[in-house]
Amino acid sequence: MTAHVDMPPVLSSRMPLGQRIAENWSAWGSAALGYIVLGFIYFPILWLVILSVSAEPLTGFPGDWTLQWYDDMFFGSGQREGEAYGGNFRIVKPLLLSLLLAVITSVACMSASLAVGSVLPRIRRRGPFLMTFLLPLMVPGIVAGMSIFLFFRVGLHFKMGLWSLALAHFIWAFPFALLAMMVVASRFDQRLLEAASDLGASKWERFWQIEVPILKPGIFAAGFFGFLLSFNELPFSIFMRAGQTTLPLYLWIQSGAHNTSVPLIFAMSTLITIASIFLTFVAIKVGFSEKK
Amino acid sequence: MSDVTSGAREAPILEVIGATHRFGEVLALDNVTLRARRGEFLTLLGESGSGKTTLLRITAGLERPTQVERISIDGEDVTHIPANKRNCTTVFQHYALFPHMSVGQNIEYGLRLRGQSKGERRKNAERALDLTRLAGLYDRRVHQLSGGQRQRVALARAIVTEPAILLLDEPLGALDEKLRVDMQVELKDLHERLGITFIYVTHSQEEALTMSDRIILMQYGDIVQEGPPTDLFDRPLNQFVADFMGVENLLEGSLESVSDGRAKVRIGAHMLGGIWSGGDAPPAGSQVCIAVRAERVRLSNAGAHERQGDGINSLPCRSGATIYKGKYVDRILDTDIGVLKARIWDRDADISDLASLWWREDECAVTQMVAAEDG
Amino acid sequence: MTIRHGDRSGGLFGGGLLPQLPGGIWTLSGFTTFWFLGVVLPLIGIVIFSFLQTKGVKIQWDWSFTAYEKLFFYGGGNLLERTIRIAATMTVIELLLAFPFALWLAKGAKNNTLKLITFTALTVPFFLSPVARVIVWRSVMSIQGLVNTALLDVGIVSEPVEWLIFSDFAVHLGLLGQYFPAMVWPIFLSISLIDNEYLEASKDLGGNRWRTLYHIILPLSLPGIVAGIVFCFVPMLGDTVVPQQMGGGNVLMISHNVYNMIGARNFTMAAALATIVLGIMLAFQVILWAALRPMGGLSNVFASLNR
Repeated sequence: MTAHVDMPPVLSSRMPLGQRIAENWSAWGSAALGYIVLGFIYFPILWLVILSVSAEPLTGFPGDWTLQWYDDMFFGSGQREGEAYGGNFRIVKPLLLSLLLAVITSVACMSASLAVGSVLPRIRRRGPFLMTFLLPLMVPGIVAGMSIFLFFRVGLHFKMGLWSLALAHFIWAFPFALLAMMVVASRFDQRLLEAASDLGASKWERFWQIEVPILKPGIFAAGFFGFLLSFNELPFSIFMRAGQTTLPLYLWIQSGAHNTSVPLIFAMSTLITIASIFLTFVAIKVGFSEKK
Repeated sequence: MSDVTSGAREAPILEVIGATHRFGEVLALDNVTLRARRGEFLTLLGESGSGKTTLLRITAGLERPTQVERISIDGEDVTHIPANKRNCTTVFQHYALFPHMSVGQNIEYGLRLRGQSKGERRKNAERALDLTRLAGLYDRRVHQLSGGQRQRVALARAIVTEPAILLLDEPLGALDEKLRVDMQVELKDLHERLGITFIYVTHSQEEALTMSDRIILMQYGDIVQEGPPTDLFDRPLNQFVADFMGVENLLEGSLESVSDGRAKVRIGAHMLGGIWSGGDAPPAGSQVCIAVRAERVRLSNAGAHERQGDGINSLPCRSGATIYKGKYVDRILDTDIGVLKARIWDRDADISDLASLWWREDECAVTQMVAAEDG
Repeated sequence: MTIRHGDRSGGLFGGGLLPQLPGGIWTLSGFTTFWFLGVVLPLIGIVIFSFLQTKGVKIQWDWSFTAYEKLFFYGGGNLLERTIRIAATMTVIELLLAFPFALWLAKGAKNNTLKLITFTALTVPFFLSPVARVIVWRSVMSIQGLVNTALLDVGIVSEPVEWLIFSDFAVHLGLLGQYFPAMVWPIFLSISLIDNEYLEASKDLGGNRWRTLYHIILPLSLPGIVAGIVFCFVPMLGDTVVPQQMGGGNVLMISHNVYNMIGARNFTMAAALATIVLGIMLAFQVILWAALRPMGGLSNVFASLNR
């Protein structure tokens, strides 16, 4: 006595595509929906790149191809007046600041996620710790930024500065870095440390010679995440800037201004986007090659 | 509380005195004292939870006992010395090979920690590889190795530092049967060649019998019996030992008398005899256990009374099931005092017209039901 | 699965090798303290703050609901209502779109290259500038922009559509792309953790696809669903980029007002607004915790990732 089972039919590759789709419509439909939304994410990016080399980007039409926006951005000509004009090397300062912050955040994330990630799997009640460390993922950037600002500036009367900005970036990036590290660290076989100790390794030798090399993929991931997240961070930076301007802040301010500097924003954003995508690819490649 | 003394002339290479260990509420070791002689192959035998692995780990330093009087290795008091400073290494059940190092680097790790030069390390590693039949695998990566090969790398890694004591925690557990049997022989061989003291943990009594100079059988955190394999095999101290060591026929009866190392036991209408191996004899009338191995039970088509005589135990029986095992045949036999099993290796010795079974008194042991002091 | 001897002991850490960490316990404690001071305390601080008053930059320790009163007096209620409405709408839409997609990715898709590309596509957006991702819409959706021109050419409309940009519609559209990966990932992870054997057993016992979905997949993927909602809804409430870029000032959400308030030194009002958002977040965290409990908690999720 076999119950009738409503199973998706076996799909033969010899079936015409139309029929295959009809038989398994739910799968095709789900996939299609997802890819359409991904299209909504990537179309603007793609179009951004295209428009950044177009003559009249504000129309949304790709036009006569030109590199004038990049030219303006780097070398700054006298074509347009206005303080909001991004030429004359004005992006350099924000760019350098963002790079500096990104490096600081990256290093901080690597160290912190290593320190926390190597210890956390050994603790029985990790849940509460993890939840706390993942808090910034759930709190909107402005709320967190605001709260830190109010706490330190208004509450404790600390002066804001580079340090507060770096702090904010770290707090924002750390949950991601920790997550990346935990994926690797929770797989780490603690018994290897016992074996190392058994063979004569001291605490430090165990840590540096056994644990860190095996956690390397996690460390790299944490570093990349830290760098990229800090580089593109906006909401926190709005509050913690203390007169400093990071690149995302610069772009945000510029794009808020309703004047003709927008095409330059396109060029800048394109550069950042391409750089970020490139770095992400590198990170994934490195990450995947380490995992065997 | 059990105390085991080797009584050797020279100082023992390992002493663990009065070790007690708790995991939360669970008592893993109950005031255990262990001494190992220099160069011996000592096996800690028992089921899971018996405390054998805990005892091993305490020796290695990987576990700090809740309470211990003293631990000393090669004359040196190591009670408060951590694992990385003790002169002993461990072969782990799941090998614990470092995945980011090659075979050679794994083996050399201990030497690297001791500051040996690259050339020295290489030389010693190659020697260890030879000893464990892994020559030529120096540059191999760990994930490319088979289970048996990994086990040997773990072994090589542990012996290359020339420790005073080598600890082995069920190293053959993950191997399949044929490989396991081969490795037992190799381990024994290695032991003889190196001359290092081996302390071996296993739950398999066959392994223990094959390889050990001395066996320590543990149960519930206590040492139940220790001695050479023949002692545990032929002269079990109580029913648990007999059962653990694979005695198929265990009969319960009341003790009539013990004299000259021989015991007489009344079971039902029968009076049976055997060698007393239960330590201090309990008073007459106490329940005791007769342990006789299936191999020793013989079949006869003569009546039981005809067979019964000096030094022979005989019982009338009926034939039960017959279990074919290839190399031998097990015959289940019903008697009026219980079911016994006879193991017949020689096909020609099998008998039709079965009337009785018998065995020599010399070939069975009479022993305690449980240990004299039950914790 | 790794058997850690230390786990058998009682207490937070367990025995065995743990006491011999290279100052590991201290590092963790130190960092946790730092984290507490840098993250948790300020958040608590802001809640407290919302019940105080300020004169310029100085705090007046008079407990009251003044900040909240002012907030609602100046239209905070509308603001909240609008923001929550938009965020809730989009979260539901994201859920409806992301769940089938995640399900397909986890259990349906066979081509590994395609999966890899899709994973990358779902990861990269996290690392891009949020402004860069939406700024193009302004041009494309404008009255003379690409979409309008196309619509006019094809003849669907006779006049340019005005509400494509700087409108409610635009904000919704912008949020869709920004938060889709955040919804997909947790759901995907939790569905991939469902052992295929459960699905086969369900089929074996006579369940069709929909029954399996309802009885097996949905309950088991609940933690992922709740996590996805948490990672979408609350951040959406505070999104700084989309309302400004896509809404242009026509669609005011919390972020806009907060910024103004801080600028105008209305700290307590901003704090009140933030506290309300935090309250919503807390409610969700509790729900998340409750949803994870039958699975053994967050730590177990990581452990099962290793399977």
